[in-house]
Amino acid sequence: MVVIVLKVVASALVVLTTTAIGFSIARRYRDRPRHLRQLQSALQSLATEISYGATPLPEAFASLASSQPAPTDAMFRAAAISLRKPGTTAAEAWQVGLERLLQESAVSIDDLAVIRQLGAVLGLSDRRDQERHLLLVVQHLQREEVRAEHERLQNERMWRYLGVLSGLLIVIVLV
Amino acid sequence: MGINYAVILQVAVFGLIVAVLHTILEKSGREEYAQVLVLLGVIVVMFTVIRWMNDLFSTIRAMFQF
Repeated sequence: MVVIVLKVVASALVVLTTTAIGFSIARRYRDRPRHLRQLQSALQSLATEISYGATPLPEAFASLASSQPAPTDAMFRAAAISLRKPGTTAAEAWQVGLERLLQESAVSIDDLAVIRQLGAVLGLSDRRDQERHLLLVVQHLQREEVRAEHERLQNERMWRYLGVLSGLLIVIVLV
Repeated sequence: MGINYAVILQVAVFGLIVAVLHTILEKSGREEYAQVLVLLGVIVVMFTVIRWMNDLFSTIRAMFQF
């Protein structure tokens, strides 16, 4: 009797674990297009702040940190805090923000490679040049978003089923 | 008769799950993984069956030992 109860509990644990793993992988695929979209709108806001508002970079970062939705705001908050320390360049602060974004959101390292180059431009060249660079990156992110959406359709549901079914498979083999 | 239905059922369910996984993997464009999965499934079931055959042969050998 005790053995049967133990078996049931252990089987449930195995299935639950693999299901959780499958769903967490599927969530990355589901979140990536949304986060890329948020990043685009954030960069567009930054372009507007720079070109029309002529806002200084620390203030622009701070205002984006308070206006952007969940994963993107953390990036600008980290960048703003890092930029407030004396002796930090805009490129270094940008780098700090991107590392934060990589932790918080589902965007990949490849997505960030293009955005990282922006750090060399921000706060150094004139307004039109910065705006042009920002909009170029936004266009790149748009293409990346279409690809991410395609990947999502292909992989999200598969990883969910894969998690549940592989758990069942393990249980069946071990029982 | 002492036929053990549980093991037969186990193999049947195993086959069913492998079949479903194969369909899902194939639908999402990973034919090569689907093939490997089916191959692994066949191997696992084969080992189970080999164990039963071993039992069977031992029983027969014990039967004919005078």
